[in-house]
Amino acid sequence: MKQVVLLNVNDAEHELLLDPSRTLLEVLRESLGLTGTKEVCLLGSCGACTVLVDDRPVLACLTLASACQGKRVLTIEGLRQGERLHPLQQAFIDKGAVQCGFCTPGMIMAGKALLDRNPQPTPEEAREAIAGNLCRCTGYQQIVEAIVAAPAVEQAARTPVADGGQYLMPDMAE
Amino acid sequence: MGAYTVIGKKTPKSDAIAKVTGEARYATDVYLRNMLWARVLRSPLAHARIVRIDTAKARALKGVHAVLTAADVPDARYGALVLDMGIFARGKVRYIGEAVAAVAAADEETAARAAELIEVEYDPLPAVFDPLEALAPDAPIVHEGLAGYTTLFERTARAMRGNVNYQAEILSGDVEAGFAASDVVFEDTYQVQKQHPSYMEPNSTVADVDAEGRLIIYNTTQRPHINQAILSSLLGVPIAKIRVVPCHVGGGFGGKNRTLTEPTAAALALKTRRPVRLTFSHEEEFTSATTRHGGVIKLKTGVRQDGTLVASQVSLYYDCGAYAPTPNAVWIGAISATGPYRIPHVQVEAFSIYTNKMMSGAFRGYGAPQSTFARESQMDRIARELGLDPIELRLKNCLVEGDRLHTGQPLHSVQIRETLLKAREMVGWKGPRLGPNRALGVACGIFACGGFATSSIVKMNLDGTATVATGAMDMGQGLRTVMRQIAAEVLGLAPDDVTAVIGDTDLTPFDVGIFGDRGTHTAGQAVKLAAEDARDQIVASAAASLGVAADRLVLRDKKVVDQTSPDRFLYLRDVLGGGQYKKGGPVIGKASINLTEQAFDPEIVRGAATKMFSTYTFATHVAEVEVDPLTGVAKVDKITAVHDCGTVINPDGLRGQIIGGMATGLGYALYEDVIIENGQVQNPSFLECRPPTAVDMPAIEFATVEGFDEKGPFGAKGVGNVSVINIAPAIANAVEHAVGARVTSLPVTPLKVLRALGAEGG
Repeated sequence: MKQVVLLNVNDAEHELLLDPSRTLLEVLRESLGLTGTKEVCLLGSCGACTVLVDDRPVLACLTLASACQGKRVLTIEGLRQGERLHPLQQAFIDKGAVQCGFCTPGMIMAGKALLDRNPQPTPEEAREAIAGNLCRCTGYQQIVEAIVAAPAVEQAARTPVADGGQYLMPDMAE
Repeated sequence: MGAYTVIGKKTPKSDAIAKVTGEARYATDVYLRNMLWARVLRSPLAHARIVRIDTAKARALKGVHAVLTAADVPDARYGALVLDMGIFARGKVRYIGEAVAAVAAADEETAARAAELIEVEYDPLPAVFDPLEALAPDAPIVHEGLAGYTTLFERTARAMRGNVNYQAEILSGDVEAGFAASDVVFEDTYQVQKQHPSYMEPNSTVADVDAEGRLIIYNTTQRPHINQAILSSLLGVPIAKIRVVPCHVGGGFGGKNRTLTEPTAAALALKTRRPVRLTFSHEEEFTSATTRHGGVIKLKTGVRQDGTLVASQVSLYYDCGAYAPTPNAVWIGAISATGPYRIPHVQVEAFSIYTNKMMSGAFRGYGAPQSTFARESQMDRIARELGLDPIELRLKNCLVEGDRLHTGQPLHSVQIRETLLKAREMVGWKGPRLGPNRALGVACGIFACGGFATSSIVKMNLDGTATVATGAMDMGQGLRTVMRQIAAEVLGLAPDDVTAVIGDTDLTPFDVGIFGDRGTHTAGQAVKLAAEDARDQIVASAAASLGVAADRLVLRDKKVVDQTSPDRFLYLRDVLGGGQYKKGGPVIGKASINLTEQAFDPEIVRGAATKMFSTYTFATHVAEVEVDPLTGVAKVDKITAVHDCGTVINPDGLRGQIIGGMATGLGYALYEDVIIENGQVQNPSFLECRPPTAVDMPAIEFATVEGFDEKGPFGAKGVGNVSVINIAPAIANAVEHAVGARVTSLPVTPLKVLRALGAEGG
């Protein structure tokens, strides 16, 4: 028996008719087309589907969509403000923390949850925060450096730059 | 080496923005209108005859659009050296998890239910699970038809018999005379496990048939052009009627140098004329994809009292599972089996052996981690028993420029000695022991780098920007960005002036696939040559306009400049522009190369799976390990790596490759193990077979030594594989120096350490 579920995702309200067994991950990817949140193990073992629900990191594959009614869901697609990347997204690029990118959305969301409650994390705290997020490419070093560096990126972004800001989206050819 | 403007400079990856915003499209993100979902029915038995398959109930289920078995597809096989595998099991099943049938249905749930409704009657057969047992004369035969299979290598006398699907022999010098001339002979046997590539993104394909009847494949792959050729041969469709459109690859590491989901999805799409998606479940990844080869390595090595290596006899028995998608892993194992050392007398015999287990395939390090673990473990045993310092022993024997490998191949760009010296300096080496239960372990590695066929096209645009096309794939290592850097350097552009089009078989020229450290080195060289071809055309055109000799002109800052009087120049856009009036027509550079053309000497090598490799990469790793003698737990506190990778093109990319390789090597050394009992995988998930996490990683220090490879672009070599292969022996060696426990099988688990301690302590 389907039920109506009201979901607030990335500040947009959605009214969805859902089977109660649908997970948040299925709804994000298949009902809302938000495919930035990745599906890997469906066991809660890899962290690739990490999103924030009321600012706390949750695994979307183990969370029922209906349980998120009345809460704020934030996915990787909701981080960027217009053309301006979130400082953590920019830090991932600057530090070379992106390789294949499949763990990246989950890593960034886990990192953001840490930065929201601890704006100046140590490398050890950054490691702990992403200990549930697997990455096979990077060996984690550059991801940890990106999380630690993000506050400085944010500081730099607040400083006015003559040409309109170096943290605007570069006009990349690809 | 020149002063470069782009090469070696920090250049962010152009696809990073799409990846940090969630916009990057992977194969699992492809949802097409009217798309059907596929589900594969897999064998529950390790070895059995298929008596009967009844698909009637599955076909009758509402929402089911097609059910296919071997009877519905052409009787064609594919493989790397031995063409042994069809889309579905035909006549018998050979491992638990083998595809028997597939369903396409309107949704995932219906597809799963339909697969369960297929009835298969099996007649179980005796099975074999151990590669050495599979060599016995009375062992169950996995492929009775092996002798009739098409092969793509020179068959040796003994290959292709019983369960041996590939065999190579290397014979240089006279090992028996060498052993006789040795003071001490060491004989050891080592065992290695199956390690899963554990790319995050599952194998996935969406196959579609367009209005013209062409097959369109959206997938995740390291080898789009080979995918296209395999689909053509399996389905009887001409290559021109197939387009492979690779999406971003969510990690490959060799595991996506495969063709697993494509043929099934394509056959279902051709049958239904609808888009069909097949994505492996997490469990299927651990039962029906591929792992690193497990196996047994035997070494007999003769040494003089002063540590000089004299002779070595090597036997490699690699367990390739029920099919052999990459039997040549054991060939790479044979090449790395002597380590980066001069050994005058060498005999190697290398076997790829069928068993009734999930398949082994390519995985970062490709056959070399196994034989390197054996060689480097034995080197430390030799050092200990002869009372020599482990680094001194290696320095005494290491290869130098101009030496020949045991295969007879002459070596150039050899800096293993420099990596050893640098590593010794970086760790402040005063011998391996650091204190109670704490020690350093050193290991060296050599890996065959680059080669095979590739091509590239560089299209100059009217405004002076360039578009590079290459069939080579970026699987996250950053090849797309490296290609832009290489073309930009040649054409006097900034990397942002260059777009790289990769992989799409309609838009890019052939590349054989990205594996074996050939991306930057070989595909990169094709891009460089194509860019130089374009540059030469531009220069010729500008020379005519300026009325100066072509050799006086260089490209820089989007201009063609007269070096002798830099105020004389033309803007690139003016040389290229004029649209329809451009004299000589548009500028397109191209290059087709094969860096693996020289055959091995048949007197030395029999059954070579390849021709001589383009070059070799070298590395020294030192691990600092503390072992708890009560629990047997080995904790790696630090790894120091020194690499000989030639010219560095993208420093962040290099760093990512080296540290990422270390992480994979760490998992191989200490805990990753796909455990198979009676053919059944016991731990098919990241929960039970866990790659290293962020908190498992040691401190890391790395350096490169100056080197230049004449065949690589701007002197570059690869680094992706050699960063993995000698981590495990470095750790195992450190464990022995720390507590006196020699573990000769991977992974080095606490239990094995305790057993080794028990054996030592009585």
